[in-house]
Formats: sequence, C-alpha cells, structure tokens
Amino acid sequence: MRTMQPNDIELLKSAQQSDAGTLARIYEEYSPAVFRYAFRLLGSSQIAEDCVADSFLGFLTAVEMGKGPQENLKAYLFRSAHNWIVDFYRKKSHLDIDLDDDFIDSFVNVEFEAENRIRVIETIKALDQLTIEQKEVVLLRYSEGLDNKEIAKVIHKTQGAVKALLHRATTSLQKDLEYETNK
Amino acid sequence: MKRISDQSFERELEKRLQELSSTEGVYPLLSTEVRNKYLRKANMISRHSVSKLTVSRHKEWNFPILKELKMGTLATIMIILGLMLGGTTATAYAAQDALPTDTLYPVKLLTEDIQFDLTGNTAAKLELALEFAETRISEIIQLKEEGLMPPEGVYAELENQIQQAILLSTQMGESNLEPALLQIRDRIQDQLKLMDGTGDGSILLRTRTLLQERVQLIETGLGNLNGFYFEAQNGWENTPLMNQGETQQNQIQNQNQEQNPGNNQSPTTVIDYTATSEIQNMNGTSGGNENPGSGTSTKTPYQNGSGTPTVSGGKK
Repeated sequence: MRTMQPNDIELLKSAQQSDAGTLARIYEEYSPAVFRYAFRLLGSSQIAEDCVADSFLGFLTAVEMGKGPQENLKAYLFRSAHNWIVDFYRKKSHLDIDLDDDFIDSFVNVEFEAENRIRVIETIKALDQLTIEQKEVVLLRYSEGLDNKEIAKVIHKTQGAVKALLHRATTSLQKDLEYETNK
Repeated sequence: MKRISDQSFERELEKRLQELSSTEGVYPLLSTEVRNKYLRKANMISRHSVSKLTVSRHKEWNFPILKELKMGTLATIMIILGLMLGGTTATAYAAQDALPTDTLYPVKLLTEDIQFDLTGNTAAKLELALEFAETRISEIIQLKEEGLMPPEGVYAELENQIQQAILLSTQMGESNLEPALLQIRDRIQDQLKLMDGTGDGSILLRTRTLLQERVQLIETGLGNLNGFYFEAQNGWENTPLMNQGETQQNQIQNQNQEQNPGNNQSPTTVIDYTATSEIQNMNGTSGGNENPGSGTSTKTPYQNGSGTPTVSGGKK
C-alpha cells in the first residue's frame, strides 16, 4: 500500500501558501503521469492536453481559494482528470465526436528493439479490449502505483467495486496476453 | 499459453505498463503551452498571496483620513488615482492588467508607486519591490509570447525593483541582512525556475542574465555580510561584480544588435545597466544626483506624451 511520502506533505504545505516554486514543482512532478493517463483513456493528445490543462489550472484555482487537496495530491490530480474525462464522454455521447486514436500512430515510426516493440503493441491491444472503467483502474493501479483506497477516491467508487473492476480487468488481460494463472 | 501465478501476473502487468511509460515515443510529449499557462497562473496567485501578507503586515497609513477608511490597499489607491485622474476608479482598475505596450501602463506603474509610498514598514516595502519585479518578469514573458519586443524601460524597471529590494535589505539592520538577502535570492531563483521552458531567444536570455547577475551579487553579499553591509552604507563604487555585470550586459546588447539588425535603439532609451550607478543613485552617494532615492531616469521610456499621466518620482 502506498503511503503518503514526506515529500508530498512538504509540497502540500508550501502549495497551500501559494509558493510559486512549489506550484511549479508539482506540475513538473505530476503532469507527465496525468497526461499519460488522460491520453490512454481519451486516445488523443490534443484532448488529453485540454484535460491536463483544466485539471492543473483547476488545482491552482482551488489553492488560490484556500481549498485544494489536504492529504493526497496525486489522487486529487487524478481525480480531477477523471472527472474531466467522465464529463467529456458524457458530452461526447450527445455530440458524437469521432476520436482519432493516435496512440498507436504516435509510436509506429519509432525505432526501438523489435522484441520490446512487440510487447508494447501487445499490451496496448490488450488494454484496448477493456472498458473505460477497467482501463482506468488498471492504469492507476499498475502504471501509476495507486492503491485500491486511492483509486476508489479517484473514480468515486467503493474499494469493493475497485477490487471487482480490477479482477475483471486482469482476467481479460490474462486472456488477451495469453497467460494462464494457477487458480 | 504461459502458465503463471496471480501475483506473478500482477508483476508482469506492472512491468509491461512501466515499459509503456518509459519507452520513448510511445506517448507524445505534453506541449509547453499547457505548462506556460499553468506557470503564469501559479506566478500570479503567488504574487497575490504576497500582496495579502503585505496588507496584513501594514501598520501605519501616512494619511490620517485613509486610516479612518480602513479599506483594502488597492481599493484605496484606486480611489486616490480616480481623484487624481479626474475620473472614475474604473480606469485605474482597468490599468492593472495593462502591458508595457498599452496606453494605460503608466497608470499601473503609478498605482505601484502610490502603494509603495503608502507602505511604511521596510520589510513590507521589500516584499512590494519583489512583487513588482515579478510583475515585470511576467510582463516580459507575456510580451514575448505575443511576439512583441518589451520596451527598454521594462528591463530598467525590473533591475530597479531588485536593486530597491537589495537596498532595503541593508536598511533593516545588520542582524536582518542575511534573512532579507536570502529572501530576495530565493524569490529571484523561483522566477528563474518559472522561466524554464518558456523558450529561449534574446529577450529571455537578457532577463535571465539580469536575474542571474543579481543572484550572484546577493551570493557575494551572503559570503561577506559585514563587507556588504559596510559597502551599502558607504556606496558600492568599483565593486568588481558590478563591473562584471556591465560587461555581460554589453555583450548581450551587442548580441541583440546582431540578432535584430535594424532594430537600433534610440540613445535616449538606452539604460545604464551598471548596477553601481543605480545603487549610488538610491543611496545618494553619486554626488551628481539632485534627487537621491529616486529611480526617475529609468522611467523616462514611459513618458510617451500619449496623453496619459507620466510617472514621476521613484520609489523611496
């Protein structure tokens, strides 16, 4: 289980005092992870950038108003991004926007070891078989290192629901990645 | 099918997702535009936060009537400016977002001057000088992002505000000199950090160099507090660091000339970048300054005859 690092406590303390250097550090530290998460769920770098911009600017507005995260900065930022994504998909269903999945396009031409390339493509394809919610919990758990309690906060669900989602997701991934587990 | 335990599969999944994150080219890079937008807002709220502290520290109004009014500093200033300008306070408020190329910019500087003059406490004045310096940096970055060349006066103002802060640090008593210098150094370093990723080019290079020189000067002071304090009281003539700053500045100006052929600056707008002369002016030790404590000469670029009030008198 991930516990709050002293680093986070210091960051939050100075952030609440609107220290410019700390606010800059928070962006440097967390924006790449939030961007990866948003990009993987939205499938477009442009839309993912809008999500990151709104999430981080929203965080600054909260700090300015003396609100903002009290204990878990990382979970707070992912939660903001999650809310943005949920809202986006809600609107999308009305507007019927076509998303260009540029995720695979973005690295098709990149040179890296053949074996690594096969594994990466395999993983992405397996992830794409998951529902948005399953994909979210898998990314938060195994890519960003959040525990079930933190994930529950991010996606507004109970820890039991998170556990169930993770179970269904890993079962699907095992099948697609051709693993057989010992039950 | 590969046979594996549940725990091992979790580890395998973790490994695969780490590979995705760490493999170059899999994820696109987040654009610097988002970062710049965030840092601008961070800088702005940080400055506002300093303003609030300054107001709460403020103990004494110079004008008895204002003491009675018990209003926020800015609101009070807006009323004074409104009266001075013979109109409403709306103009004065509108000026607060003005950039150096805007007509209302002199009103913004005038607002700052009044705010500075109304502040009695040296520590609060120092905070204000730093806040105004940060505003100048933010203006330079904004102009650069809009593709505009910042007027010479903005750099002079920036330099003036930092010198003002350094000078004020020496007026807070010998025992307070070190924390005050550290405060100034940290704030300048924060600005340098915020400028990372805002791009390169002569405009930002010049700003960075100016800030780095000031950090260097402060570091020198921190290394020899007694000497720094003594020199502050007796003038900073022939300080090697200041002369070095002059040389670096000349190099940057030469570089600007090369990068912007045809962009010749009028001799009247060329600012004397030797920090020595400005500190001497502030100290009144140069002998030739009739108005010691004034930074008037640095503000002439804004006296543009555009019908807007010109700025007179420096921050004392």
